[in-house]
Amino acid sequence: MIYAGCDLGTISAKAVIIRNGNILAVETLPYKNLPKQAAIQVMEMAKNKAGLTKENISYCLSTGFGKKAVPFADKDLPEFLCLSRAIHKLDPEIRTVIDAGGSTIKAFNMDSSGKVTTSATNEKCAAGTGKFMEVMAQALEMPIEELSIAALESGHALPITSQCGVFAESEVITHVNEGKDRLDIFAGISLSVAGKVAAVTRRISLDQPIAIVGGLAKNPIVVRDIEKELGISFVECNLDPRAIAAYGAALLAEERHAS
Amino acid sequence: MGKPFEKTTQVINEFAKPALEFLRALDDEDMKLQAKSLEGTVERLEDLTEAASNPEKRVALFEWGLTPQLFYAFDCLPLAMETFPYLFSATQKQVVHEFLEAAESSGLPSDVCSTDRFLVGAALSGEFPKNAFFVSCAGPCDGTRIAYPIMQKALGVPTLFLELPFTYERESARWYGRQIRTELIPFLEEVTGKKFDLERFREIIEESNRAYELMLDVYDTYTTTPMPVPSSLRGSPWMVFISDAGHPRATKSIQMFHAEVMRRLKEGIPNPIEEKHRVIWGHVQPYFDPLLLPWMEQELKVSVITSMLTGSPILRPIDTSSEETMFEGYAWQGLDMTMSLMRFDSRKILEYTMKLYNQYRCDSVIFTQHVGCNSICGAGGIMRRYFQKEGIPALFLELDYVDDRIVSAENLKNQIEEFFSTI
Repeated sequence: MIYAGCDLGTISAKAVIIRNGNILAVETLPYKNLPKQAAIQVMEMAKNKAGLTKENISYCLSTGFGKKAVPFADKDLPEFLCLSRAIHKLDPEIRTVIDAGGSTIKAFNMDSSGKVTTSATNEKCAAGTGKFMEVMAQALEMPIEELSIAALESGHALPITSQCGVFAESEVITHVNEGKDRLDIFAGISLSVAGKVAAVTRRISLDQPIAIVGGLAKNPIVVRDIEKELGISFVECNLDPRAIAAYGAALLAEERHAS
Repeated sequence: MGKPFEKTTQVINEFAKPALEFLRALDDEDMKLQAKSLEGTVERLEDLTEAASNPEKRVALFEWGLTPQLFYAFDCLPLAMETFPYLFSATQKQVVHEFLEAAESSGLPSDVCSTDRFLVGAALSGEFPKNAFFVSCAGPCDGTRIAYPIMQKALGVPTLFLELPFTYERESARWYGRQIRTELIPFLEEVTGKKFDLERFREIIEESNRAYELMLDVYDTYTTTPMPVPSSLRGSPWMVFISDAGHPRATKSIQMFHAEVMRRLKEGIPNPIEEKHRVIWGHVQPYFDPLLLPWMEQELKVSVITSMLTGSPILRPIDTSSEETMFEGYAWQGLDMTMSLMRFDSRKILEYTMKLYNQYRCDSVIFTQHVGCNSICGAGGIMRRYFQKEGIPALFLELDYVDDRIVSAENLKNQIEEFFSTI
């Protein structure tokens, strides 16, 4: 039987299709609005990739910020459950996970059975999240993917002191208007984000090995700065880090449907 | 500038009374119980609003470290200010926003505790009557330190500040009790024109003792699994007590609650909702979403033992055998029943939380990090480390319990759901 998981985040929709725990397809679709349509579309993309029709999927679970808006899901689950399940499957040795997503930062410790033992999340503010970085990249009028690689060469990161997204954006615009190097500005933004992610992570134990997942895990300068800030090195998960929660949802769909 | 208690009257007429009728009409035991609890509150608020236009009456605005009995001994109508914002937060959020903005327009910083900002805003908007007086306590709370001098000017009514002890022990309580006798009583004699009558005070304390004993019984039943009443109703006796202790109406309300709880236990009618987790919620809950606790209970099977402010009784009834014991007991109750306890050292907050955690056999903790409260946010790190060390699952929720614009109910629900998925 075939199972699916869909993670509808604030920046992108992710879908994973599996059979007997093996991945048939993984798809990620960034979106600006209409999350429900994004969920439908990303699942269609995944099904096409796996060569499936709708009827082939026996059970589907959704997760993420927009989990209630996934129209085809049989049920929804919290992200912690999905992330921990997927990470345990991918690498049971991992003891600490940082999920740096579009609007949330989560950090948690896991034991050898894959159970979450301690956790922390960002609370009232989305500073330091993927959405924050996206807005800053827009202010710099350059694609975030390009900035994230090019800014690695910056030798002089300009500090961004504002935590508030609106004030930080105007700080960035001020730097741009002063003719500062955009890569230096972005390097400063990355340091600010890394500091925020590290602050949430320090609330739990930094038990090794440590993995980073979520959209920011695809951003090399942020990953480097988080590693520096926390004095750690991340281990690689053998899957697109944005799709980990969707994969966990698919695994749980298979397990729960089977039982 | 509005009329005194104008917004309060609106809440009574447009929300509380219709809600009361609605709850009474429902064929649901819990809703009927809620209606009975609400009856006393509506009556108390109506007494207060009527008193605003009666020059013969005095309205006692009090906060921190006091309970209503002494004000009833002087025939005043007490209003526990700590409970005032919640009345609006749960019913008319636009009034909360209006008062907060009124306070900020006057220059009060937006990061001062929203309870204090709300009260200053209410005072500036004319919500409190001119026949009121204000009694509060100086303690280690930034919000009150900043807000109350402004409040004093805005109200333009007689004001007294008592000194709260910094430690929670017998000598401190006795010292505080002496202060009540030597400062608060002369103040009350002056503003009311009445002499203090010890026997009248004793009668009122005895009345409140009956309510307190019943409340202790009720809270004892919360150690059972499943509990006899749903989470949303459990704090009701405590809320009645802090607002109205000493008035026969409060005793009657708690007596009714007590009788119903005991009937359910006797007849084996527990709360029908399955309980997977039992959580002690330290500090205040977000009052802007009255459906949060029912949601937790129904969707997550999480039962909440409330510790709103410090809302679980831990003392014995007040010893009325002598004037000295009576004032000592009254002082203890004031320090315990209101938010005062939250402002002692972190060790005491932790000790108190763990006492309740064990007493009610909880398996997890939620701790509010109210954005304007330096005391409770400052204790967060110490508590977080303690719970981690003890292996107690703990969720620290940053929120403003009055203002839903800081962290939305949806965001909170998401964090709560995520947390319980891990335990």
